[in-house]
Amino acid sequence: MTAIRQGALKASRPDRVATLSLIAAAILASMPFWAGSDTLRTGVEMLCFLALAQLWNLLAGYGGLVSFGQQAFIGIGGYALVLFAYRLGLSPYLALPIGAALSALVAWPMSRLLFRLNGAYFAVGTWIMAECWRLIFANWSWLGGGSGISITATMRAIDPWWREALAFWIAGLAGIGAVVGLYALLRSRWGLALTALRDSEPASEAAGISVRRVKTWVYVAASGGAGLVGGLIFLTKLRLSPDAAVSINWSVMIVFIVVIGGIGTIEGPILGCILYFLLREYLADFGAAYMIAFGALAILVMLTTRGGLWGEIRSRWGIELFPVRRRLDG
Amino acid sequence: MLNLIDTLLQGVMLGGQYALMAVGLSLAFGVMRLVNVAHGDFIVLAAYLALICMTTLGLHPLAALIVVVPVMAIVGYGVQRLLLNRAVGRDIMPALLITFGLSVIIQNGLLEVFSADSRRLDAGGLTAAGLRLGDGLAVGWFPLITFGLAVAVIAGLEALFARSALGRAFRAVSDDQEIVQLMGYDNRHLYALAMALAFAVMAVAGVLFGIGTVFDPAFGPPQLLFAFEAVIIGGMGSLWGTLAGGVILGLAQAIGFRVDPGWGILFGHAVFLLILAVQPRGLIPKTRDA
Amino acid sequence: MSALLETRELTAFYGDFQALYGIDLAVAAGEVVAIIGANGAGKSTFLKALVGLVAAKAEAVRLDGAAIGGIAPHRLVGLGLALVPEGRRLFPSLTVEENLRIGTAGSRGQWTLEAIYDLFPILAERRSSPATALSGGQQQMVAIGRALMSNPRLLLCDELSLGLAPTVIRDIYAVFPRICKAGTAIVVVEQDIGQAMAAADRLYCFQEGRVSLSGPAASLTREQISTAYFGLH
Repeated sequence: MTAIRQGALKASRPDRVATLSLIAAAILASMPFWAGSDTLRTGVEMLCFLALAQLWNLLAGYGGLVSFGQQAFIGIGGYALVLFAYRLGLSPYLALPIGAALSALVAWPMSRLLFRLNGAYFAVGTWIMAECWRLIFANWSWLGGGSGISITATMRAIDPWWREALAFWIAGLAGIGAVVGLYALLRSRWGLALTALRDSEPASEAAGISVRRVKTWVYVAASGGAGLVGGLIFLTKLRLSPDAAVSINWSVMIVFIVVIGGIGTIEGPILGCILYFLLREYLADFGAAYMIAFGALAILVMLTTRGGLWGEIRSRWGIELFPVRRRLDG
Repeated sequence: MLNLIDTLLQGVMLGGQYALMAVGLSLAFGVMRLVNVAHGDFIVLAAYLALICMTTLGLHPLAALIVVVPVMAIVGYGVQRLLLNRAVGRDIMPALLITFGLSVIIQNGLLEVFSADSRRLDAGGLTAAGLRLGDGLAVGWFPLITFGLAVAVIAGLEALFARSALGRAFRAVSDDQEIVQLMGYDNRHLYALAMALAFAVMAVAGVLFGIGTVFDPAFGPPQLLFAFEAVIIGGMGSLWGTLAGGVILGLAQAIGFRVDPGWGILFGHAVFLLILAVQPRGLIPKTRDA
Repeated sequence: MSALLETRELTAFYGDFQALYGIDLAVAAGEVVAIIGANGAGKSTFLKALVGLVAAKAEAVRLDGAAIGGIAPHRLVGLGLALVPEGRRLFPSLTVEENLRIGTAGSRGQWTLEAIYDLFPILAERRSSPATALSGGQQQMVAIGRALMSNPRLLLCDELSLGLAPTVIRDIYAVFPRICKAGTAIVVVEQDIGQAMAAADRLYCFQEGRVSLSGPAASLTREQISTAYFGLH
């Protein structure tokens, strides 16, 4: 008999995933007590990138929505800090979830319009949409206008240690949350729909999955997440300008991390993230060279192995850290 | 009133420039179903190539076209043959991400070689002279030349597509890349030729762009977005649609700039989004779905 | 018999799935050969393997004794092979006349635009229409004309009668003698056994990727054919 043997998988390996996640969470939670400021700052950045990469992976790798415009929501999350914390005086830690909610809220009507563009057009469309947000922020003088604004004042009352620790903990929540969240999502009823969507849209439509609805939810969720991370990034930078907040460079880095690591896998973006920070560390002295190296590497991956580095590792050694594939047993 | 006419005139002229930039994008999509995300960066690259010709050979920027156009055509042939042909298929992701990677490589490469300084291709008196149309109303010779060139290029390409054997083969490969091979055409060669043609037009657009405006290595992406908007507004039915799309975009931006200099580009984007909302298939839609 | 085209032990695969298990088949100049068989018997795959759209070993396909298996499709038309594909697959962006012209592939011979219009007079009237605006039968005529324009030595026709009315099918098959007169051989894949027997000199029956029966069309009985076709014993 043929049966989808998900039950058996659920019983064994997820325990390992849960154990690993708990150990990672425990290490991250304790880090502010023993790690130095520099380590924490790099850590925040890494975890933010991990979250953004994993969210883009959900969008492009599973939802089939290749977006070059997620910087719009990084910007909206950042400017939510300016508006609610700096201008309206709310706690910046409250402005973070507000920014995430706002991002998700504007993502919905945006998706209505963007989904009129198919495939490659959608990608450029999202980029144009992000440019619109950049120009809106640049023209909004109350939020600092084109030259940007400093929001240091919002953090003055908060003790520096707590500032660093809180930023790190939130980043940890976002980073691990994105990984575990995507893992849980893919193993849920929704996961089956997403995997079907990734493999063949017409087939999943025929199987009764509303492709449009799934895509809308994926887009809204990934955008809300990007809004949260965007807020966090500028909570640590404390200064934002439209050009920096809504920059295509965010997309460039996210896309390279996911593509090189392995699109459509959970492990890929983690690997890509580690690789990105290593390369940046060692090649930073060569100026723009590391971006050129990254671009060439991404092209190479697309030309040779679509599964990226993790895809290679998985096919060579059969390792799978996050078992989400359903197996068909004959 | 005079102000208004002047604004509209400037918008139309700007539209000619956008149309010229959009032709290559429209062509690559029409034949290969491919969106070249590095489109704008290749246009900027052409401007830098012209700059090299000017400084090393002492050429006038328009004379530099003799070098830049064939060089860019060869680059286009190579990019398609060596990279993009391997990614052509039902899945749009590889081609999209390969050109995205190219975009980053070109930008950073130009940054390394030419620094972030703004450049301009000095065309002598060409950009200063104008045609007086009446009291207080004038239009520069250079924008007029650009517009005329856009019309000429589009008319030439339309004739090529409608009447020549190569144009027929381009349409056929776009319809059915498998069967066209049985007609004796190597589809990979046809794709590369189409890309070479697109790059030749991009070279012209890039040189004229460099004469008309200051540019730096980061100027590629905005040109891609404007070209893309012109193509979508026009509706991909024909290259004349792309011209119409470019003019509409140019008008929107010119009117926006007149309202408030900060809103010009945003007005253009807004008109693009508006057309997407009310007429998603563009003004001159393709009558037949491929 | 000196064969124009000969296949020996021709195998073909779609990924892991094997579609052909060693087909031996020969076609002489000027002859009409019909391939019949049920759906999935490998008939269309066989034609695709001949024109290079499905991979084949070099020695498995010989044209005038030269090994041509696995050659790039765009080079086969120059060797004298032309295909009328299943479902016609005309170029929708091209007019009737453009569809015919693109078939030329630089060849010279008796099949010119005028000769095709003489063969199918209705196409001359519709020469400027988009190819896909024509009726099914007329589209089939364009597809045959497009293939003939390259002046092939071997014309391969895949499921000519699919979706066409019986009278239209008869009209189309009626031109076969005129095509063969100049020495062009025809291989026609056909599901309609009666039509195949009437049109062909020789018949091959495919079953699950193998030749289950072959011989002169006139010598085969209905019983033999239905056994070979359906695999009944």
